[in-house]
Amino acid sequence: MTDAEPTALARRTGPVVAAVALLLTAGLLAWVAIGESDVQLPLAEAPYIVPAEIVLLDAEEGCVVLVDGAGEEQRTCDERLTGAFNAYWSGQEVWVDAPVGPLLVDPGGAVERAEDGGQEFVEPPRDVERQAELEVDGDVVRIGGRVVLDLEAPPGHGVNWAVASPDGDWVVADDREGRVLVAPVDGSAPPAVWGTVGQDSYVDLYGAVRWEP
Amino acid sequence: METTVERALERWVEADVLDHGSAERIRQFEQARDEPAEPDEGRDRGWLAEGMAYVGAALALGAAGLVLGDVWDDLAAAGRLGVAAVATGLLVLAATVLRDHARGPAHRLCTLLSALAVLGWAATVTLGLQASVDPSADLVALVVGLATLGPAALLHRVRASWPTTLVLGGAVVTTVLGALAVATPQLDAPLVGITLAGLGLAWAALGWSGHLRPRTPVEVTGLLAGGVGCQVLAFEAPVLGASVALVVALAAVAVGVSESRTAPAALGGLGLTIFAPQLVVELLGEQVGGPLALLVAGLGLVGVAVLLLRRTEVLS
Repeated sequence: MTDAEPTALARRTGPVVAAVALLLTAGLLAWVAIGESDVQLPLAEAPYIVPAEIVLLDAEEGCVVLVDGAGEEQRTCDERLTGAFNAYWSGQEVWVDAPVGPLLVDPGGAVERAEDGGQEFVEPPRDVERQAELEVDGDVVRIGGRVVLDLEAPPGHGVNWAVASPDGDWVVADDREGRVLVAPVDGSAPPAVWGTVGQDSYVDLYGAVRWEP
Repeated sequence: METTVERALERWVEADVLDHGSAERIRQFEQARDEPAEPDEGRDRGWLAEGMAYVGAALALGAAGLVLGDVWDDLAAAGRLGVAAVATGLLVLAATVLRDHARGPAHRLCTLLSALAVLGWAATVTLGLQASVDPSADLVALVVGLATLGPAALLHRVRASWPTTLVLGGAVVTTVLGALAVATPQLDAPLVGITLAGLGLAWAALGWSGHLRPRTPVEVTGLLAGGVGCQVLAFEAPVLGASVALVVALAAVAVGVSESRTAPAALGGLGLTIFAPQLVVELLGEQVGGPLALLVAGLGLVGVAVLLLRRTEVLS
């Protein structure tokens, strides 16, 4: 079976289409690889204080980082925390899943082995109904169909996971760039960067954030 | 003689645009063309040998897969490398035996064996790298892609066909994705999707223009790669992925209909069926968009079918 010969139009247009496709591809690749989210405001410079604290990990340096609602950091470092994967914040102590086993960290104080090995913290009650209304769609978070957080980011830089505060006034999300973002749900002020998560670490937005009662 | 020719001759004679004598001469010419050639035992043997070779190769590959599957994990790195190298050598040897045939079953079999030998070479290089320096998977992809690109391009140049198109396309994609993986910290879905979509579209366009031959295999593999790329992109950026795919699908339908070629039209129709509903649902939401998406896909397919049929009627 032989193919039909290309038409004159195909002979002229084909290479142009191929060149345009390759140029557009290069442009899109650059946009996705180099581009970043429009949300860059540090929480310390945001015009609000979040009624909560979050615990994050700097696993490379071996530190637990407690960040308050104004963006102030308190670091507690110990070599046993190097390579730690996950952390929970009870309000008094941080439970850390570390390579040497579970550790309990008193922020600014001692780091001890968790004797019972397990995680004894009770996560704050989840607002199942509100969480069910929350939808993550690429770089946008919606609650009940209304956009409450828009990262305005290229594909691949969007939101991993998001939760609403128990009172429903705040939304917290982590994105593909390893950042934790926070924003008032009513859109009265811009979203801000609360902190960053190390490349090999993880943040459980229910267990790591402790909201004020 | 083909009945379409006979019907056309009758129609033309009835319409008085062709005289009976000329019609008869055309009939005789077409009959002579349609008459089977002298029985060719050599040709039959060729078909038989080709069929036997394919069945035998499938059986042998299946058996080798079963045997190697059991012992592969226990084999040392050098042993795996040896198996791949011997298999590649055997494929090259078999292709060399058949290399003098310019056409027919032996030619096709030689092309297939040569294409498989290039894949065997890629596997040998992969195992060789893993056995010697244990590099990252990204670097392996880049080196294997580069090492395969030359033989694949050479083979495609002398024996352009479906198997060589697939091997060359695979080598290009592996090389580009490998380079991208090495250059970027994380090769995630959007980067893979954009790369596949762009390469696929460029590949298909070069096939359409005749700069890469054979046209249909190049177009089909390009459009399929482009479609897969758009779908991967659509997981992260639904509107962008589906929109690009729809534009390409419409272009493929236009090419297929205007040039009366089935492959681009069929793949374009398939693209419309897959991506039009996705875009409609994404833009209008599932509740309204669901039924509308089916309507759009259905009407799109009917439209392609009507255009194809009209074009066929015009040509006949």
